[in-house]
Amino acid sequence: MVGAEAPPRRRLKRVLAFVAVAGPGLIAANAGNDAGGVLTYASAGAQFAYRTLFLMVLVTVALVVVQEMCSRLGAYTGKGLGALIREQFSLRAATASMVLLLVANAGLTVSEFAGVGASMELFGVSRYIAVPIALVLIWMVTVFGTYTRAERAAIALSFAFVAYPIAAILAHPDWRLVARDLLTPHFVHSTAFLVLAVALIGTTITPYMQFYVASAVVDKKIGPEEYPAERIDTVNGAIVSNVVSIFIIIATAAAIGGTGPLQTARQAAAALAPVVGSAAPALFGVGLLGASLLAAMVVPLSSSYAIAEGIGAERSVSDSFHRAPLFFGLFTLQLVVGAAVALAPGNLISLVVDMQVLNGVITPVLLAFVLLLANRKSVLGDAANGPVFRAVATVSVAAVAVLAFTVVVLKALGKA
Amino acid sequence: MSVAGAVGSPVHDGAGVRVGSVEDLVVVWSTGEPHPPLAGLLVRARLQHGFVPIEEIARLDDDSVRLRGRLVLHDASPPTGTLALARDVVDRQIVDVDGADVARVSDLVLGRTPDGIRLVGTDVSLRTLARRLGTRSMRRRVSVDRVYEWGSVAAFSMPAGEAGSVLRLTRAAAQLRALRPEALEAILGDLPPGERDRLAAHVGEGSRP
Repeated sequence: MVGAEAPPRRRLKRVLAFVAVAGPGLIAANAGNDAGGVLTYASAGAQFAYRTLFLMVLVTVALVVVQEMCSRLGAYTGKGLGALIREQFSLRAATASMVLLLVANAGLTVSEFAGVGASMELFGVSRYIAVPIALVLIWMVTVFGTYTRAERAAIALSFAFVAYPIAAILAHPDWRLVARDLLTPHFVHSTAFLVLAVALIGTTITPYMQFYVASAVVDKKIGPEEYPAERIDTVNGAIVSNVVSIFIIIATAAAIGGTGPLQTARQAAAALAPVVGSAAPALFGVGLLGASLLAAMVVPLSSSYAIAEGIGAERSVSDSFHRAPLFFGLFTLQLVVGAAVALAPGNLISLVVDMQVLNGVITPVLLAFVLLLANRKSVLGDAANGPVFRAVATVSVAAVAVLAFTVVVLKALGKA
Repeated sequence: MSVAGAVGSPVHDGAGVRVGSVEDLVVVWSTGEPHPPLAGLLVRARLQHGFVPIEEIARLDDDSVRLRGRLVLHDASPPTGTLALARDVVDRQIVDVDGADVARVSDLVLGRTPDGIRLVGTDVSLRTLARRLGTRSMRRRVSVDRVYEWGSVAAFSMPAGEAGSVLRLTRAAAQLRALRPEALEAILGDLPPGERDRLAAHVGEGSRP
């Protein structure tokens, strides 16, 4: 028979197409559950029990919309956000956004290495041993590997997130309460809730995720033809990563909900011990280690992609150091500085908080760029946002921008 | 003359009254010449903007433009077969013959030749990029250290102006023809017409592999 393929064969083709392109969307979104993210989600559960769950559903919608626009821009133009912003907006705007991204990512890299150290200390390994080993491993996988190998390593690290659903189930939450707070809006009228809500959004929708997904789609040479499968990867990645976040909130809510905010991952692990048992530190440790390692690779990669794209230098994980010296040099520098600062004595909490503020400044600006780019027919042609998507995206971006701006003002006023 | 520096310069009419500012510089593209001639300017005047052909321009300097008579804005878009340099070329990616990324266009250099003002080179230096972040007078200064002969980088991968479009080198990056600084400085300098013409003729052949 000529023409229509048998349905099972077609399904198999579709599955194979998805497997071939899957990666950028999943990795970018999972990297959002980084060390700072884990602490924020755990803190949300400890402070407000299940009440932030409905917010996480809304944030998931916004994350799906934002990540999808970025991967579509990468697939249809063959250019990352750094390149598109330089070409489509003023040089000053492009430079300012790149510098802010680089500074914010440098701070986040420190917190990721601090996360590696904290998680290994839960297993009794000194951070002075764990952090340098992590640095060398990440550097070697990225610099000496190909894009595909680095991507496989990143996907393998994502499996560590399975620890959180297990921890949540072991904590025996009230599933009826969970379902209620997931499905019905439940806000608490307090500044602390507002600040936490913004922190949740800020840690879930972070600029490095948007830069990374667009650049990785380009690096993987995914074009318009492969985009339908990549769209599934991006949407799926955003949903999976937020389901993990929701499980972190559920785990801590079930164990210590309503007791107040947390300061460290160790506190979260220790708090779970009475309900989850001796497995708690190990579960939290594995999850945090995977999250921190993944983000310690993705965060500096995203700024290296963005700066190299902005300048127009060669940039691919599959390239050699010799062929892409700026890209790998910048990546190496961020790793070394990040690890060194994470090992230095001092209060890293305040640094992480400052970086969250900086991300709060960058996020609305970057999302506005993304929205304008994805709306432009001159950039995406027929793949530009349609009227419905444009409305949903505008509302999502505006909501994130307003909340991010609010927290910056509150922090500036010393009220958060 | 620097394209990035010329954008934003004031435009005066024949009576010397300021009537607008330069929005872009437009060259003839369809003829495929190695050094495309300037076709005119896109000028912004209050809320309007439009094309002003080169024939209506009495004097074009790097910091101002003088028209022959009063300002007449023709079509809002550049004519068919032309290219708006600031919009379609500046900041675009340059790739080599194998598709590897080489640099981005930091600025474009126009020179006065015997038969008019032509696009002669593309500046890819980081110094120029930094210069563009400064004041208008800084933007006008042309760096001469990394300016490549326009004929080496003139092919677009797809129609210019499209988001996916990149500039393709016509030879390997290592063989890029750099404009010799002395030739470039001379062509940019305010030389007597005879001397300038002699040097201008060297732009093509004076550049070296």
